[in-house]
Amino acid sequence: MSSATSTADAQPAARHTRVLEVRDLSVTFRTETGTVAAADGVDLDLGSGEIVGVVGESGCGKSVTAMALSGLLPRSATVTGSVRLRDDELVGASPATLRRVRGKDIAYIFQEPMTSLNPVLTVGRQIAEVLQQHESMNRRAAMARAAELLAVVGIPSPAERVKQYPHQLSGGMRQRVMIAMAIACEPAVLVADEPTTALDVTVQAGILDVLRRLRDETGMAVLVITHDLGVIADVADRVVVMYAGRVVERAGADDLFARPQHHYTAGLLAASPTSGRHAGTHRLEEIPGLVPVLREPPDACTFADRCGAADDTCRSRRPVLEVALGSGAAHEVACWHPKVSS
Amino acid sequence: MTAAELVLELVDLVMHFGPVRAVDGVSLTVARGEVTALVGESGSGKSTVGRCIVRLLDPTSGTIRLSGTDISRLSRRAMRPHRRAVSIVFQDPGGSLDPRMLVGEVVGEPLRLQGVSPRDRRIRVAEGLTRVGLRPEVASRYPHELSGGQRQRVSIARALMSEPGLLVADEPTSALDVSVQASVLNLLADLQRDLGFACLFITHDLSAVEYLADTIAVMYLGQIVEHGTRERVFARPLHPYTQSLLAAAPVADPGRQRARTRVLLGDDLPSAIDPPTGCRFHTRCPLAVDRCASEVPALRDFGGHTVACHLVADDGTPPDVRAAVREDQDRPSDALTSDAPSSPGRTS
Repeated sequence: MSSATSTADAQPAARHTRVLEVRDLSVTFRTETGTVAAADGVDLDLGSGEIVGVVGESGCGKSVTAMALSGLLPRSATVTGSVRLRDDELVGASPATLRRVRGKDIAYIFQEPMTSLNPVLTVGRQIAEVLQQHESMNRRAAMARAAELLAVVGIPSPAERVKQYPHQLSGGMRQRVMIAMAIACEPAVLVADEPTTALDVTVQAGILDVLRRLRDETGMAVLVITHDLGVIADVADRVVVMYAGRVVERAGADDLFARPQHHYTAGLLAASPTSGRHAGTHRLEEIPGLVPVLREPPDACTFADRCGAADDTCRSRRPVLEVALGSGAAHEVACWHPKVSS
Repeated sequence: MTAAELVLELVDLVMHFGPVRAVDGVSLTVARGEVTALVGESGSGKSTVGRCIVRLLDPTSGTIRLSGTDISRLSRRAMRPHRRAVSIVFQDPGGSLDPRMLVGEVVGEPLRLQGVSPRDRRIRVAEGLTRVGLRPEVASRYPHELSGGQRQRVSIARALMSEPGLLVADEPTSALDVSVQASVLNLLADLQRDLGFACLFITHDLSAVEYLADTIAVMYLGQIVEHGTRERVFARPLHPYTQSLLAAAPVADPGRQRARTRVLLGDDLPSAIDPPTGCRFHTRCPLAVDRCASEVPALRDFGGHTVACHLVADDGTPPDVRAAVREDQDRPSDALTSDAPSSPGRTS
């Protein structure tokens, strides 16, 4: 626990100063059959000590956006726009800059920890390697720090666990190891891409708890990317809803769940089975159709084809994110006919 | 309830893989037209139970009765006529549909094996596809040309082709997006109501369970620890494990989610090779007392709601995991170490 306190001291009153600023981020992929627009004009802000959730279904561009932040996409991707991480511009940055920034300023954890860990190295070695690379620690100090980090992420008997290989750990333990590795250099931003999707709910609750505590104790900013509205409700302070590569709604978590304004957001909420609903008396709302794969970002609302409220305006003009009538400044929606909330 | 009304009857089902005791004495009944959810974490043995029922696995011991007929030791040949009585749908339709077969062949295969003529097959395949909300033309497509939700509809259509009395649905919606998941859950509910088949719904998704199930059986490390109606299990879960599962599943409502008491069980499901003595849950149970480590709790019946836990009082009053955790949280403890030995009476 001592390590967690020391990081907290390092960033005392840094709460909610903006650490990440994404403007008009677009990603297109070249494929054999032409280009595909995967992210289209994404704006995103992240303050220290804040957990922001990015939610959407597969194909909405949420993971692509996360990977694009620090240049993790393959060469077939073209990234435009701006990503400012503290003082660095990351879009178009040199490989050297990106290498310096990754791990130290922005770190990632992914859905499947088994494929992200090296099976032939002990978990202690893998964490120590990060520290030796970025913090120029010697091996002995790095191994000692690795054990401390395992304790921080809630792994019991860390002194024994550092000597174990990934296959000797359960899925939840492996994800905790990934988090330990990600926070080794005390990054300003932690990107968690579907961090609990492969895990059981009991294990998920523990992992989300670690993320929340890290945020509380170190002031780290966390970007949680998920398709699971329950996860969002559990950890996020603010929510960004993505659909077909675009941000369609942004709001505080409470506000978004209570008063969704985009028809897609409202549809997602109505589609989730929630407590007290049974097939005998309720019917889950379906969203007809599929997420489109876009070759060219259209000058229209990309949800129009699946939306009950769509009219000619929706099909011919692209809506921009703006504060909807009658809602607070922190609630923005990209919709020509936002749902009127009571 | 007479035996004839039971579509499925498992008596002391055991499935061991070498030293791994995946299923270790499961008894369960499913009545005609009933949806029973089998829930538990990965590694609890719930999918193995499903695979034994359709005889993809040969159980080590125990009895499986389908509508009164014991099929647990039938040879492959003798099993054939009974295959029509039960079908299974898997989680990943991408992996369970043969990529080289047209959708029409996939869906019509059970009929072909029954000797139905190609002409009648075509008609019934078209009906089957329509029933699951697909256009009959889909029959001439390959599975890879369809979306995940459409593929799952194809596997449901195939499973229902032989008009089974029991459908085993093993995580049928877990690989699907929320909006698609909703349509598949609605479809299963509609089909079940219209056709009246019984369903063993195997899943870890408790919100889907609440939506679809009539009764719920909770598995932990190869055994059933609680079984009761949906209303009773959700309103008043008896077993500390069921209580923990329900407490761990986040609700899509930030206000309510914040107000809930979090119960953290720790990450490790103990090994099924060497399961804990006594109550198998005692190593993770925040309430465990010495007796839990030494004595196997018997399944006790409280008016149709059964539970295997020493801490449930004789009048059926359950222990309260959340209350115990709340008390615990008031004390200074190594907060991040969710499975630190912090509860009184914990044996280690």
